Amino acid sequence: MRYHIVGNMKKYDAIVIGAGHNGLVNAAYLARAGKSVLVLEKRDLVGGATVTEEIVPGFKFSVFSYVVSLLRPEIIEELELPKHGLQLLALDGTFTPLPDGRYLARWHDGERTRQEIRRFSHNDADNYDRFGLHMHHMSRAVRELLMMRPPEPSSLKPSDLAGFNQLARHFKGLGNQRFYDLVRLMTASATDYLDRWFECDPLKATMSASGIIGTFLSPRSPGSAYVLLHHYMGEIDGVSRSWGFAKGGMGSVAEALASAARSYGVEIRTGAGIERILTKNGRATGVALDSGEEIEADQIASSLDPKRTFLKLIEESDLPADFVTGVKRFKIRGSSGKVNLALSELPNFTCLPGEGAHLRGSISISPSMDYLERAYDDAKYGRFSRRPYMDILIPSTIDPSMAPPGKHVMSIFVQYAPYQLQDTTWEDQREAFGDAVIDTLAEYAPNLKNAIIGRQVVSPWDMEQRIGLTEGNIFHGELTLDQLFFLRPVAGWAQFKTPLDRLYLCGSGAHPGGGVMGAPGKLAALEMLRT
Amino acid sequence: MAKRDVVVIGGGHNGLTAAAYLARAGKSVVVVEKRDAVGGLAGTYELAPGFRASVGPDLAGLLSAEVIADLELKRHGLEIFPLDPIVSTPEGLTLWRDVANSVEAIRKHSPKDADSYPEFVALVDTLAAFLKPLLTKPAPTPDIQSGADLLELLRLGWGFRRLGKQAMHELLRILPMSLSDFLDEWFENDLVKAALAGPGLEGICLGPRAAGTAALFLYQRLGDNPAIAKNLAASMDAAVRSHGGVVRTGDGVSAILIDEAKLSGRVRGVSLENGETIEATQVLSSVSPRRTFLELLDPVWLGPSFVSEINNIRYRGVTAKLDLALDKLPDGCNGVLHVGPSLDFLERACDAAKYGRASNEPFLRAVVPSLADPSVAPAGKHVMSVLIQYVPVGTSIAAEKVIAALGLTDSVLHQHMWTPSDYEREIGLPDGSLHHGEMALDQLFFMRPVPGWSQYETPVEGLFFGGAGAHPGGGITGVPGRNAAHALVKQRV
Repeated sequence: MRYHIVGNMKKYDAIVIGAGHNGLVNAAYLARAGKSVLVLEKRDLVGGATVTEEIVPGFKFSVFSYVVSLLRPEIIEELELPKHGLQLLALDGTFTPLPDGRYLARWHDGERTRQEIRRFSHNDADNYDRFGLHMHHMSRAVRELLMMRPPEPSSLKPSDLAGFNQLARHFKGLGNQRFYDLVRLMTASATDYLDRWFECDPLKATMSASGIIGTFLSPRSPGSAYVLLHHYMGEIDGVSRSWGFAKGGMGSVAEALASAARSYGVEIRTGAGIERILTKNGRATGVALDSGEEIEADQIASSLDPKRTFLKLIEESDLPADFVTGVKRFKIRGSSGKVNLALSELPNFTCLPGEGAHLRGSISISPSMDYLERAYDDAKYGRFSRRPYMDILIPSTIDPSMAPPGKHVMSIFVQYAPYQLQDTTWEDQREAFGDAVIDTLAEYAPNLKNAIIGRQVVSPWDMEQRIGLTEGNIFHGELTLDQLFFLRPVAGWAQFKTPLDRLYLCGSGAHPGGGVMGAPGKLAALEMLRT
Repeated sequence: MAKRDVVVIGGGHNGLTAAAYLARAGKSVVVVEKRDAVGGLAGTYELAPGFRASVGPDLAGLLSAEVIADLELKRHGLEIFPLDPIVSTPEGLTLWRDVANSVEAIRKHSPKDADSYPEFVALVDTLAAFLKPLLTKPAPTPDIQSGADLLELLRLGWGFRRLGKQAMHELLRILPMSLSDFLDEWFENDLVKAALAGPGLEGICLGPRAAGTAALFLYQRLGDNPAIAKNLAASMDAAVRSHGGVVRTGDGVSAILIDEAKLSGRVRGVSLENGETIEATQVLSSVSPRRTFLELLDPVWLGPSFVSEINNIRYRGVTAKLDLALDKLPDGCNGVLHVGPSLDFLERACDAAKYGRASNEPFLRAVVPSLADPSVAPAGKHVMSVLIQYVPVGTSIAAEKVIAALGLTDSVLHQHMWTPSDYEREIGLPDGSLHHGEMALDQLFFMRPVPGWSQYETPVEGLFFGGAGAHPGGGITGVPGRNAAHALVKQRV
């Protein structure tokens, strides 16, 4: 028994709202430090957006998030996730089929990749590794910022001044060239940034696509270069820039986290939705569940997004007006959807027929910069992209347990799918969106349509309905410069604390932001343990 | 010609400003301007007999008050006419210098926006006041070499702290934002948002949804904007001459000459297109980065990384200008006329430019300089200057379309269109970029013209760079020219 009994109520040291990956990381770190922790999850399974579900019998879908690359290595190590069942399988490269019958492939093997790129451009083949090394250095330059508590610029507190001192020393240590390049990365568009290195259109398009994932930006929008970096920051087993797939689907990441958390004594209750956060005299004191039950705790950590946390679970009058304005202004536009397919056979790409390594990595529908830009133009005015950008995985080629023998599951991440549709709703448009995705993909792999046994279309609206992501934004708020670091989620409140004493934010809406990274969960736990 | 202290390349407003400061500091200066008239974009030309129009955008409200005072430009004939209203639209929205009047005007379109407006203006003024010294002095360098650099940073930090917590947060948040996100936070009415957004998009190949456009919007609010200038180039030219400087027109510089006796090179003057050589101890270029470093210099003196950075500067001019001689003015042509009723309209206008096409439905900003300065047109007649976006370099747009959109079909006597390609060919603006390099976040401040070279020096000893391609950028401010002149004077020869 790690909790204490107060009257006839249990009282925990901490309650964590939401059992997504950040909530679980947060709970695990708190319990590891000796706290009694209760995690409350509305759904019947843990994981939030990090789940595996059997939507079509026998076929396991990573319904929402689908790759592991950002998960912080120190979290994997400190929480001993491999011991709790986490097994990461490397993806072999990226395959970009092109409408003219050619394809661009990048493999794990550097020399093969150079050969592939050389078919398009000698310059780009020569630059490719230099660029990779450059981005590796840049991501190291940023990693330190990600894993620190953002200092508050208006504060003269020793801890904040020390934070700025650390920043200053960090920038100084980078040297001028890298500092300037960091500034450029933070402000330039992915296109402009890549134009400095490469000339091959499909290569630039495929690379810049990682700069737009989850954001309502196009590769030509200033600020998209930063997200490019965000996606370069992945590390698996110490190898930078590896993308991985979790054996058993993304749900096994959540399972491993939950198992680790339980091993430290965390109690996890599923089917326990929160009605509101209880407050008293400007302090969070506990939570009230949908069932009417009330549970008290010394500290509350919400891993839900900032809008849900502050606008749905708390009375506006309990929060300072300018904070509420800040939360309302926080941009959380959903821009992406998922289509998950159960397939009777593998897709057969016209440009590279048959089975092969290209089906064991990421397949990117991003033939040109203009293609991506046009996809964005649709979304700007409230339509889903008629010809969308897609990032596709066929997990069953890497992990056969995901589908019945001989059959396959395909995960298609799709952009752009704006949450706000012009003059219509997602309930009306969901299947039309799914059709647009499949029609587009079938142009490259004509056998696709006949191979579909079952399909699941997940719009941003569905993400909001099913897993509570406001507007279906997968990052709990866009990763743009005005919403990062000491501005995330609201200026003055970037240190995981909130205007309500003892209430903390530990989800992707907090610094350093989204992706299956775990950093907000861990940093918030450290902050909670400090008090 | 005898050896000079300084040759200034380019007789645009920055070149003239730099030359005037240098002459005033006792240097013997010669300005070399390729065209027959001085002023570059800030100059004027005869649109038709009796009608004069500006070469570039007419709005001169950003011209630094310090430059005007230091160079005594008013004594030399400069007149500034502030415009009021500051913007008006065909849909009937008019914004005035006076906030209370604007509030009443907005109320007809949205009571909610009318209530938000005063607070919005107050915030913008606060932020602009903080940014002003930052954008009129040389950009602080992150590369701290001396106590002076450190002091400059500390001063900046102090000014920042004095903003107070809330404005401090707002500044950090707003600078990287898009104009549409920024305006959406304050206003609900499409027309109000679009009318306010106009200036923040001038000269850049970005729509209101592009991050960083809020910063350009603040930049355009730094001065007494909008205003029309009379005798702008002429007064600067007179200021140069009054201090003994020489201004030569009709001769272009063909190369910057290097004294090779010194291993790393050092300027020794310039050669002209007519074959003449002008020897000088120092050279200050106010022409574009591309012209200065890639065409007038042998790259061997610059080094590969500098050359590569200069090569990568984005210009992307997208602004065309239509000058009209008008028989009569329709009603309501006061101030800045803005045609572009919503942010989506402005964004759509930019969409075509992304694919290299001219916009089918461009957004227009027009002024009537003859209302402020009747001397530019015969009595009773008028000159109107219309900025048209987005028209990428290499494309054009039919003047009739613009004239029709403005409802002027019956009153046009003469017209002249400047496309970005015309600006490139005649004024030497790379890709027709009015700002000598796109004013996007990654090309501003200590990143301008290229990272590490924001202090007006160049890799070549004795060569200084003070055009709009330098910090703080484009617009008729005079600031790059003045700052470059200061940097030059400071250098020990």
